[in-house]
Amino acid sequence: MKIIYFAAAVEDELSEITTRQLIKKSSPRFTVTVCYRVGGSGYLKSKIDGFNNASKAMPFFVLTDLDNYACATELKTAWLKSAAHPNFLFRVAVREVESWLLADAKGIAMFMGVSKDLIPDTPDALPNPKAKLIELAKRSSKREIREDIVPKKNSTMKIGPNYNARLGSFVNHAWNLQTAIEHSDSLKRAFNALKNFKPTS
Amino acid sequence: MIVSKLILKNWRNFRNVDVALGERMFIVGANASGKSNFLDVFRFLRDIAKQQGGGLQKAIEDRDGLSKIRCLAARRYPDVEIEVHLSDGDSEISTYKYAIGIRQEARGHRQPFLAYEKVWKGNDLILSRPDSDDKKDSERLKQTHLEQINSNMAFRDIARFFESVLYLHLVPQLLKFPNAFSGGQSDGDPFGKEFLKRVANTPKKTRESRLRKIEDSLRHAVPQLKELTFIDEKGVPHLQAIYEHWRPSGAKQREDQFSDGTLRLVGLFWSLLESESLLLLEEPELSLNAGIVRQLAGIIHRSQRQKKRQVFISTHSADLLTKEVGGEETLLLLPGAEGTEVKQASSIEAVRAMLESGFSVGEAVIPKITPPQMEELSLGF
Repeated sequence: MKIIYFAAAVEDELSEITTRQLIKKSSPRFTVTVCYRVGGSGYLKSKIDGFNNASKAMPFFVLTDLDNYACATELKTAWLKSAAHPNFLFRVAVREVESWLLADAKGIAMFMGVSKDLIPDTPDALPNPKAKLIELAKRSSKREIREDIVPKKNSTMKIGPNYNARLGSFVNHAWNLQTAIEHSDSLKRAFNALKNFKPTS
Repeated sequence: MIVSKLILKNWRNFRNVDVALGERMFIVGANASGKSNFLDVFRFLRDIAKQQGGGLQKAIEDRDGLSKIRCLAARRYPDVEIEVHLSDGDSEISTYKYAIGIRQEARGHRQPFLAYEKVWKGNDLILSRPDSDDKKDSERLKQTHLEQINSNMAFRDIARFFESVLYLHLVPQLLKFPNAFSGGQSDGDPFGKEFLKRVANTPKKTRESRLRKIEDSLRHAVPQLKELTFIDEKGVPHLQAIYEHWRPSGAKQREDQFSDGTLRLVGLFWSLLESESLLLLEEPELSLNAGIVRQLAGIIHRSQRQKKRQVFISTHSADLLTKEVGGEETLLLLPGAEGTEVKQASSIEAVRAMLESGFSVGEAVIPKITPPQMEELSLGF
């Protein structure tokens, strides 16, 4: 079995953890050796052609949030100046990577200590999945979930003080990818792209 | 003279190293990957060559014995080996090569002794031990010829070079309040406790010219600081500067009122100007603003134009490794089960592709040495 080494580029910590899990679970042959995460989506956008170019030496998986673009294709054409290299997997989470977590409704409900009925069925349709997650955390029966994920009152922080690590531990230890791909189309596409990936050299 | 090549076997966490070194090298690696151990090779050679309180036995004893120095991944082949090539500036051909192998007595006091000691001048082997005298008296192998004035005549240049290697890991608190910390002086004053004495012992003219240069370089980093001078107050040395504020004449400040960052820069610049031997800088980015950190590589380069001083810098900072730093100047320490590997960043194909695509060395390399799942570190508390 030949191991395929991936480089990944993402915009935040939670995206990194999710990307690593997604790649790991797509094939036992895949390993992420390095993940570039420097300065949010602005940085990612400014360097996207560099990553595309570098993928001639090593397969690259880039994940970004759709945010305010209408659709993934629009984002991709706006960002990429040249055609994507065959080793360059450019995926977009609709609208944010948080919807991929919400797509495993049973898992996230249990982890957050909220009722499963509160989790939306099609998280890709949410205008702001991050806000949804935080709203759920506010109703959590678990203190550490509320304290870590919900931003403090009157704070300028948009997320709680230990948001990434707390949700990251869900992704690493409890996230059911098989369930999640059934409820998030953008996740399913990313998963399939990895599943069918064959590196060219 | 610069160290142009380093070959190691079983040195601390390196089982096998063979790297080319240039005038300015950046050493990057995760925590506990061996950055300090890498620099320690050169301090070890300095400790052997040192005329006062130096020597092989002392250098090993200061490191708690050969068993602490030997790589844990060392197995069948137990000797610790160090080989350095020295050359003049840009020349690829080495003027000297120095190599030692060290092993431990199998029984008794288990003292360390030389398996061999070799010196080449150009291509000529001018010293090869054990020689016939060593075979008659094996006690001789407990000392190197490097440490003995009587025996190192033919290669005194090497001894002088090693002896003046300077290691610096400035701790501003020690510099400000040397008396608040008990404990003896560490060899070579790596933490800057005796820094002011070093400044005081420099001839007046040299001192003033250096301080002027430092003030000049500092102007961008700390624009409020003016007129950096040295004063001697009843035998106690002090640095003084005028700190501009709303009063027309500004306020005089002493080193204990300087900010940590300012002191670190003063110490750093001083060391760059101080001598022509190898300078080892441990994480110079500490307590400095990222904007200043981005200037450091350039400052070091400019200082090397005046003095051909070779500088090795260990760092964790992506900001330090700007686009003005080359992949061939950067050594990556990659820990593995068989000890840490040392690789030139430009020798790794994926890094090369990143550099060619317009990324800086810091951008391309720092994520490579960040261990995955650090995020969950915060859940341990």
